[in-house]
Amino acid sequence: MNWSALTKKQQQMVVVTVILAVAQVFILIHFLSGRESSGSDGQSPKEELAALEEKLDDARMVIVRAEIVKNTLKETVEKLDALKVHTPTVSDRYAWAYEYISLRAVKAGVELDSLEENIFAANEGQTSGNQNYEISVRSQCGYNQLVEFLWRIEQGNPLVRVKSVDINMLLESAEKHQVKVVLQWPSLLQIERGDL
Amino acid sequence: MSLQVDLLKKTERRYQGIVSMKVMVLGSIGVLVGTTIVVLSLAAISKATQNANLKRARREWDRIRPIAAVVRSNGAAAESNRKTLERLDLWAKGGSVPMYKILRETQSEIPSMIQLQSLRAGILEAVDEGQPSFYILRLSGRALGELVAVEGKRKLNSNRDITGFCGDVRLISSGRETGDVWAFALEGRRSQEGAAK
Repeated sequence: MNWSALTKKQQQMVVVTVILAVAQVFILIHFLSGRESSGSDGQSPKEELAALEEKLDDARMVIVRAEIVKNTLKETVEKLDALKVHTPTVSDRYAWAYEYISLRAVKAGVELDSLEENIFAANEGQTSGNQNYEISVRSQCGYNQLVEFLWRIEQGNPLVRVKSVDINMLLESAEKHQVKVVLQWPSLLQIERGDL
Repeated sequence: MSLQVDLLKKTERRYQGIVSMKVMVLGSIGVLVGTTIVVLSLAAISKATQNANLKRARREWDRIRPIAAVVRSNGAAAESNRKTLERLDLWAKGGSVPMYKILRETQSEIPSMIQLQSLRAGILEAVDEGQPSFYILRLSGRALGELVAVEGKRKLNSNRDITGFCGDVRLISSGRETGDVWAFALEGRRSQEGAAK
């Protein structure tokens, strides 16, 4: 087609046709690629939808396990609640520990000489409440009595730890020994209750 | 000689093809406009569908997000509690048998020719931060016979409860006190690494 052979009107029509064709191509590209942004984070609706679908799938997977998670949480809370009674209370823990140890000493036939709290200075970044609660027990008793005393102490409380036992011979008695026992309890028992 | 003279003006010339130029151009425009309308309609339908899906997804997300957050929070709480229980289990048992049993087993393994003067069993805490603490069993006393303390060490090391508590027991000192009486010291220690402090 010879451009110069066309009239001015025909040339205008050809130009309009070409412009329309180009515009159509651009419109097609624009809509088919879905690039227009919508969200504040610059995501296109298509990208936002894909991201949401992914999040929804994750959330559905989580929700499917809701009952199992709740039961597990309930079980762990019950176990920790049951253990909590075996820790000294913060307000009057010496009395609590004294009673616990004294009762078992009587049953084992061990006469207690002293029962002292070991007080620690708080470390940097750690409050004294985070320390283990520690009690030193001193007595003069026989070896078998000591074994029975420790058996009663350890069997009666799943959280008590015998930190150390020192036994020294007494010159004046072959049957009795000088004994020092250090007992520890975790002073804090944190229980996460979630949404129970 | 012949002469051809074209007396027609440019606007008066007629296109020689079967279909006129005007029809071709208008037809092209018509086809373009038509396809554009079709494409735009399809794009509008697609966009409307996408927007509807997006709205539905947003509504669904708004509905289940708090539920999922609660389940996640419960999961985190259960995991935290599980770790606490593990720590407490490790705390009390320390990976070994109870202390009363250690003392009973020690008593049963010590030969009758030995008189203990001191016994220390328990946790030897590290003085410096970063140093490990130890489970320790230290015995000292007198033995009637030079090799009785060695025999005592052998018997202690044959007891799994004792070696589980403090590792292998070693003879750390032995010396004649009087005649056939030998003063000795035995010690076993095991690093507390891995146990709860």
